[in-house]
Amino acid sequence: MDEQALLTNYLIVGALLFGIGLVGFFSRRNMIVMFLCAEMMLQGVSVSLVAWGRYHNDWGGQVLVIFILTVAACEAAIALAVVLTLFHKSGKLDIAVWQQLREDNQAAFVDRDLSALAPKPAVQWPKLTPAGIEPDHDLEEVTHRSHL
Amino acid sequence: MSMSNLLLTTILLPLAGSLAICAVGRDARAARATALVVSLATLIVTAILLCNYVPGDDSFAAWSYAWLGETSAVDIRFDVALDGISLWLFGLSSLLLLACVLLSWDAVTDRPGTYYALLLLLGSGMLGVFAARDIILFYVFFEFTLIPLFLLIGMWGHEDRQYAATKFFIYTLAGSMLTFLALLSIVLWDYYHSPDGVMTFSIPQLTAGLAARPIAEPYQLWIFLGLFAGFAIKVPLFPLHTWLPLAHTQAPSAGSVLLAGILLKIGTYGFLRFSIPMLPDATVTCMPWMLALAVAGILYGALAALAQSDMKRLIAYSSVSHLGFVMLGLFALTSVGMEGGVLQMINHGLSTGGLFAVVGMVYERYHTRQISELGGLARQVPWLAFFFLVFTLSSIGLPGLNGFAGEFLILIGMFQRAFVFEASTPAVAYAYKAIAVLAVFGVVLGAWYMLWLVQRVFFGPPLESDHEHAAQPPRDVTPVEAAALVPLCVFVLWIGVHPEFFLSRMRPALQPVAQAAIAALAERERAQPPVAANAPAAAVVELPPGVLSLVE
Amino acid sequence: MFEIPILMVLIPAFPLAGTIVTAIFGKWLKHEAHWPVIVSIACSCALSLVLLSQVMHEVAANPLAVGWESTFELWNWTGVPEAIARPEFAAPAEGAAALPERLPFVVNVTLRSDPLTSIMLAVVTFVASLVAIYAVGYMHGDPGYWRFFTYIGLFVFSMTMLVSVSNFVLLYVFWEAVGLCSYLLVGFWYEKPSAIAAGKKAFLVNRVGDFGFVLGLFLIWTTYGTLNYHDADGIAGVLGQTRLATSGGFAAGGVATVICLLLMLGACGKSAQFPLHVWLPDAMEGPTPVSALIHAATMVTAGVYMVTRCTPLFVASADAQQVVAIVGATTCALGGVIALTQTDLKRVLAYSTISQLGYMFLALGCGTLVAITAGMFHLLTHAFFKALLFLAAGSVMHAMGGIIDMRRFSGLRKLMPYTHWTFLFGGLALAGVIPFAGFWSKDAILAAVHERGHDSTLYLALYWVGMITAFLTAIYTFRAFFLTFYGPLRVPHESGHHAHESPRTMTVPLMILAVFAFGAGMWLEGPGDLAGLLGQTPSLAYQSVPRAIEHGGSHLLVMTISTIFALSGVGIAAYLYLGDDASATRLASLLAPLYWLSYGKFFFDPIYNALFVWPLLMLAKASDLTDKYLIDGLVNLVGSVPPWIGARLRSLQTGMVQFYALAMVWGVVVLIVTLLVWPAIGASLK
Repeated sequence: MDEQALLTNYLIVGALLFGIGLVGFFSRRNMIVMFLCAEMMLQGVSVSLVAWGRYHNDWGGQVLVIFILTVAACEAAIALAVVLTLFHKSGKLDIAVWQQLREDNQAAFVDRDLSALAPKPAVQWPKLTPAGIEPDHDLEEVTHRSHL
Repeated sequence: MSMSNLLLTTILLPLAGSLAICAVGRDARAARATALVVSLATLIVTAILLCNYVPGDDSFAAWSYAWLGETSAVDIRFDVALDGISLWLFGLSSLLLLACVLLSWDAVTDRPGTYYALLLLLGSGMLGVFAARDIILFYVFFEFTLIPLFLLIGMWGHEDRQYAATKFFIYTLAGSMLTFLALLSIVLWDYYHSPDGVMTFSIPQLTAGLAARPIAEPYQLWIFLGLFAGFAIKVPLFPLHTWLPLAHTQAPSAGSVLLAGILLKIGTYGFLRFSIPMLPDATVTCMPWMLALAVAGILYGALAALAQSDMKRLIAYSSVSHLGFVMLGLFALTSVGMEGGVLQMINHGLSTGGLFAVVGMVYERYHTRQISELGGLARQVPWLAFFFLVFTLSSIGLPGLNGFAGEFLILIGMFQRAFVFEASTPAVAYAYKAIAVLAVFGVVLGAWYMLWLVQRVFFGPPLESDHEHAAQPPRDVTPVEAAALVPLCVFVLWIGVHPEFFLSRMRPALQPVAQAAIAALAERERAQPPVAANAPAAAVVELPPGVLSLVE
Repeated sequence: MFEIPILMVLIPAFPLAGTIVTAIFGKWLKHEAHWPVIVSIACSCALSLVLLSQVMHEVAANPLAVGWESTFELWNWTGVPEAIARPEFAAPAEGAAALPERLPFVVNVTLRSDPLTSIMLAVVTFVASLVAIYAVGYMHGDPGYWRFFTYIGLFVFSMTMLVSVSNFVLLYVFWEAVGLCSYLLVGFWYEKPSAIAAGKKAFLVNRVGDFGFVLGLFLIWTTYGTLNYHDADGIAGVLGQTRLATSGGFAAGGVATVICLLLMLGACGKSAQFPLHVWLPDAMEGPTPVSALIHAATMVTAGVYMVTRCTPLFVASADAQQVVAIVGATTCALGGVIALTQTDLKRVLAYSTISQLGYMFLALGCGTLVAITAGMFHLLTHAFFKALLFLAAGSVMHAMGGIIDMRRFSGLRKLMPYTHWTFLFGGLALAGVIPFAGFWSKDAILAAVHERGHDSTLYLALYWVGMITAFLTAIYTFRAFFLTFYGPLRVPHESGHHAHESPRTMTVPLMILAVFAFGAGMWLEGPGDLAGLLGQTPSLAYQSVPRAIEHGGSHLLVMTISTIFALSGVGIAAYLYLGDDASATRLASLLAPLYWLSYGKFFFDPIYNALFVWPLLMLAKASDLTDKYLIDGLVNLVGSVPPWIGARLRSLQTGMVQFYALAMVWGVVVLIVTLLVWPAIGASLK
């Protein structure tokens, strides 16, 4: 296999990894999955860097990848810590919970379609007395900054 | 102690006092006592400096420290000195600072520590801006005055204080950003064109450098406009004045006094220091426009003042009118006009500062600034009425008091420009004549609104509506307040009776300011066929030699 | 001891010192507060007389062709060394090189004395002394007693300075200073709205005049290159002897006319001439001694003094002189007609003052030396008899408890004999009955005008205006006299039971003035030789001032006519107001429109309000609204731009992380595309 073809293959793999990561990042709302997708994009870039380094017979590419790995490790530590904190705050891993950081005049994103897919059962369950458990608060209402 | 150290001490004393008050903390009596001692000391040191000034000295009491090292190619310095132009403004700053402390003595009870600390901080800024000889230092002090005053207005002002403070701050800041850009352009031009390769920020060096290697004309115009943005807003020149009535109305009275007395002068001072000497061609190009704006301000300010119902607002508009006179004097580009302009800066500081101080005292006693709610105060507070009348008469340019000396010289200068010297085109010649005559008309209007104010507020039958006051008449001027006002009155009279004392000390420094601009004007006229500005004077009969000069 | 410079300094210095002492210690002096001022004014008066005699001596010793003057410099007010230093004058414009290349602007505080000044000083200080003494009685018990005397002292200081300074700037300074004193004294009872409004009106109308005056002053500077009267510092003064000795030393043509008209505007303001006469009647709101001193005898004559001083400037412009004469005659007639119907005794006298000042301007407008000295002559006699009349009116007012409306009292001659007799003397002088002072001076003016009328129809017409006004003068003077002192005895209830003759401090000055009102004219016309002395004033000794040729016959004719007119005026007044009351009313209804105009003072106040005051106030309102909405609106509009842009950009912040990521991707795409496309664009441009 000549160098040119090898490079092409590597680049294709790198591009695929990057593309899959990108699509995943866009389409998934689970923070951990999104983080993994971001990592995958990073790895895609790393693969292409290694490929180019080999093609040009230059260690720079490999060195850069080692850098990326190191940085990615640090990043992973921080990112997971952030995710953990966010989970503690909201009890959810859904990134959409944090859309309350948006500007004031923006409409909130609501998962209308999902609720439409799973209609509430028509059965009326017996209710607890009002003095019982604290009802669900609308997190959006409670935490959203109303100013700015 | 050498004069240089003395000057440095004067500038830093209020700053130190301000820190000391912070250390004293919340004790109101200690705070105001500290403020008094510090401002009094500042005034004494200033007086010593002023007394030792030798007329003609351009770098009196110079004190300099290179921030980036003496050998650095970028020559930014902490460089302060006094010359004839800054001398009296420097003195006025010290005088008004003391007056403001005395004025606030009983009036300010809310957070006095912070108040006096800010007041002294403002004092340092004012003193520094006039003494600075380095562009960066000037700009630092220029902006430095803004913050304490912003806080003074915003925290101790009247009902609409926050809007006023914000508007004042943003308006002046927006302008001064452009000014800073223009100042840096001047520095860079000089740097690229000077042979020694040092980037100097020193104002005298730049002035000398630009006189030798003037900036190319189109750039001059842009730089002039940049400077104009900041300085004209500060002055404030019509139509950039709308922040002033608002800020004055809302500011506590010490804030108003310093704002009118000193801070507005920084604008005119900037024109005098930078625009005219450094950008002569642009000055000449803009001269008709500047004069037109100045006279528009004179008339418009006077007319608007006639329609006011709030005392402080009325006086604020009168400031617009008076500062129009100052600009008229400076941009007439004649030596008489310029001396009048600088003298009028001092005069306006004294008279309008005094007016704001007295209005503050009235407000403190009657809790209103509305003219319609006051009347006949002369019976209840005769001395207050007396002081107000003195400052009013000074403000309307009554001969024998200071306002007259300034206005008269300015108008003489303007008439010289209009009726003696040639103008570039007939249209400009007529415009100058119209400007000169209209400016005189502004003096008539000035008497109208001020006397109307005096008549409505201090004379006439006393208002009986307020029984609370009728039972216990408000006290007249207290000794502390009198101590604030009397020095101002003394100077009002002194400048009126013997202006030469003040003029002779500023004259040598003023002489070179307009030299380049006048030369540029002459050059421009040489290029064009001269149009006689003095068409009526053409009828002057030819005098035999020797009539005009007897002894020669 | 009595060197002329020392005298020149001491004369104003005394009143100033008196003022300062009263201002500082007045509160403690209480009812003795008049002493410092009276003593100082009296000293000043004595010194003025000494000065006058010295000047007369000097003039007699050295009769110079250019007049006699002496100046004394006190200090340098301002001195700009190179006010005009011009590389700016590229090439001297054609015909305009009147000013030298380099010229200083120097204003020195210089005092001068010459015949004109010393005469003015003597009159001012003399009348002021008498009025001050009178005021001791009149102002007795007023809460502002010391304030009153402080102002009076300040006024005398300003007035003496006004006539003795030797520079136009300082003339203007003290011109305004006497205006300030007038403002303060008219508004002396500051709780009376009408008084303070009158003070303000006086100040503002004067400001309008001063607007002209100061413009004229600037034009003098731009034309002559100096503002000094006398020669100083190597520069020929405007009215200096060098220029006076040179033929054609004064600007002629348009610029001369403009300067003179502007100066005349100033004089109109100060001397209450048409069209700026409206302030003087209102100024009667002030205390009566003030009306006598400031608004009759001294301050209002400042305009006459100034025009006399500037005679050489006026001689250069015949047009301006005619304007002065016309203004004078118009005012003269106007004042006379209005005075006929006023019911307020002081207002009658005020309009009479306006009218008499009109005579003086009429004389000045003739421009001949005889006429100008006649004008000054009238100024002097008028100062005596009008001060007398005002003080007598004040005496009436004092007795009537502040009431001065002639409809409220009558027949006071028994009640107030001294006042009655002195008023009669003053009235006869004012009416111009031989041999009282007014007769001589008024006659001198009319004769001089008549003389100009030989070759000019205009002046002949003005002569007849003056003559008819002399007739009116006699009528209104004696109308006031008869209404006040004759008829049944009636006193207003405000006077209580105290309607009595005034105290000695008030009647003695009246009597002294009465003597002068009787004899001053005769003395000055004959042995006093006022005309000879005045002729030695530099401005009047100027060769181009025409010396009139005496027409002895016509002078006698004028005398005869004016005497007939004056006596018939007195007779008509006696017929109308001494006989039955109905005749005056009948006459009024017969001349209803004229009566209406006269009684309404020709409606100057409402007309001025509608023409000037109201439009200016509307303009002020408009400026205020423009400021609030247009200019500040624009500022706020500019200020609202950044928030507006920000508000638009806010929609980018959705809070959805995916959206941000997408934006980043698009950003990258745009960058890449630009990078690819840019070279292509560059290539295509080449």
